[in-house]
Amino acid sequence: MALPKRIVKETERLMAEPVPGISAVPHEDNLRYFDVTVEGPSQSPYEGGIFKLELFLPDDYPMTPPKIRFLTKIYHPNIDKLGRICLDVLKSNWSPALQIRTILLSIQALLGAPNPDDPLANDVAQHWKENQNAAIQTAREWTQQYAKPQ
Amino acid sequence: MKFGKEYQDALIKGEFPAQWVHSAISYGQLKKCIKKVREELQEIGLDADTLAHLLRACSIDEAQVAPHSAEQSFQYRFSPEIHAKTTPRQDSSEESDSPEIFQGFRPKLLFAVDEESGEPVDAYLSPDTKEYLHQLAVSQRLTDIRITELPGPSIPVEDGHASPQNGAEQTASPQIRMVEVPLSSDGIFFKRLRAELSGLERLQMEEKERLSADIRTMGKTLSKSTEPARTLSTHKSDLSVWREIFLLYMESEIFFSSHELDHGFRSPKQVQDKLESFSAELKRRDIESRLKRKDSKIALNQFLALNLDLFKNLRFQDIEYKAMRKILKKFDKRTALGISSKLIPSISPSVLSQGLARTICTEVSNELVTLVPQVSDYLCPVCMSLAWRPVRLSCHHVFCIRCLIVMQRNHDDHCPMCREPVVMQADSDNIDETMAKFLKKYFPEEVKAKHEDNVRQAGIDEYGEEFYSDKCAIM
Ligand SMILES: [Zn+2]
Ligand SMILES: [Zn+2]
Repeated sequence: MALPKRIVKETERLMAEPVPGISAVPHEDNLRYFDVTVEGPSQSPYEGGIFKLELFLPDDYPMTPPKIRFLTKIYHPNIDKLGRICLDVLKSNWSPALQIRTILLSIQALLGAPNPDDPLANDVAQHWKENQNAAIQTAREWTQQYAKPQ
Repeated sequence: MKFGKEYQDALIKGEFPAQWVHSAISYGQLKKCIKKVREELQEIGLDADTLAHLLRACSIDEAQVAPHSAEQSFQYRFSPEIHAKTTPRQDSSEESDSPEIFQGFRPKLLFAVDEESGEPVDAYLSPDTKEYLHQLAVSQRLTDIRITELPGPSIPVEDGHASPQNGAEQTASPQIRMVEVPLSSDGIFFKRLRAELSGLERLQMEEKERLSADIRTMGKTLSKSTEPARTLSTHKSDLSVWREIFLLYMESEIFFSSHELDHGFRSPKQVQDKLESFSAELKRRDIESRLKRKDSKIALNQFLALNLDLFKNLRFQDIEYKAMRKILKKFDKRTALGISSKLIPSISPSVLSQGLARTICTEVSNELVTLVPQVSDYLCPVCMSLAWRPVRLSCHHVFCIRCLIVMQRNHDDHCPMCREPVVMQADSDNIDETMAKFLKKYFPEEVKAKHEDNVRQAGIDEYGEEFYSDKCAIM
């Protein structure tokens, strides 16, 4: 099936005017599959890290949201061991007027503002609530260990 | 090469109209004025080296001492004080300000002397100069009753109407007062500079009027040649070609970049490169021969000429701004009176700025570009193609009918833009007929393409993908 005009346009704009700190490049053999990197926001425990994600646009996109997962290990109350993300706009609050770039910006914002009250990774959220400083320290260490660019 | 020569060369090589060159800053004349100031100062032992030494001495104290305090052994200031104007960045559409920067201002050189004895406080001065300042203090004190009647600490009093003879001023310290050194040549320098800058500003206003008139003329031509076709046989329209021209023009960002890092300013060199690649791209796309109407071709040439004209203005302003900075820096170097840091920020934004370019670019987009609606303003936010046919939900958001059908089939009741539960209630009454008429008139090609696409998608929904795949299309 031919690529819908909307996906073509979104891809072109992502290439021509990239979002600062974010990159999204489609696979040559599957233009619905993107390699994504997100820089950890400054003044967050993820600062200095570069996180890899995969993004896939399902057939009925934009009626259904893109499927996104972290590939880089990350210590975050809203991201589980498999890299799945707990973010309302990726689920119930998705709107077909949202775009790849707006979603990636939301994910970057989530790194800057973890929300342990709306958890996905239960044990991490628990740690965050019981001892925030220690949890942030762990998040920093993981960033150093797993998210440093080679 | 000396700047004076460089400046003359730039004015000649620039191929500017004679009237512009006539209004240009006369660098040589101003340089002569500076020489006079220098000589006048030298005569009383206040050469650049001495003043520079005093300046260094006071800047060391400055950490503890408020500006204009009596501890500074000399001040060179303007009466009334000049305040740096805020950069008129956003209000480009406004008329440019009158040349008020130098209006009614008088430069003053003030020296600190002991209140009692009239001796200069600074020991660095030569005996002759000390004696000269002493004499001044004595004579000025005799004529200044205010000082003797109102001793004691108070804030400095500025008296703009004081004549040079009674320019003595009270200062924060009871032991020290400021005595004015009467200079005449510096006044001449600033008067001249002021006249030159007013002349430049007048020129800029005239240029603005001229370019605005050009824009209006072109607008008239353009509105005829882009009028949408009524019937294909009787009337040719260049609407879509003009749309392409303006789209390319806006994307080129010739005079300003959309990045706010540098306030969007471009140097003349950058503008030149952008202009060249814009016209090269017009040639590459064979725009001129694609325009069918004669008046369209005329309008295109007017448009290119207008941009070249604006560029020429920009180049001229750039040269003048450099000359103005240079002459003020030179004044400081020769006299060490320290004026350029005070004057350059207050002059640059209002007189020699990119204000003209801003104003003209705004007029171009308001009066010309808007004559040709762009498809990007009429897209469906879901499929990002032309919103055909346009359906307006009760929340007033517009989508194409195809996306609305898909949303209803999925039972997504929420408007993608505002999340109001209004999608399911929409029916054929929600088709915006006025907008449909407008789209058909201004985007006939895009409407046709989108219509075909809608039909194709509906076919796929009904009969499956194979029905419309490439293989079957041959049948
Ligand atoms: Zn649509
Ligand atoms: Zn709405």
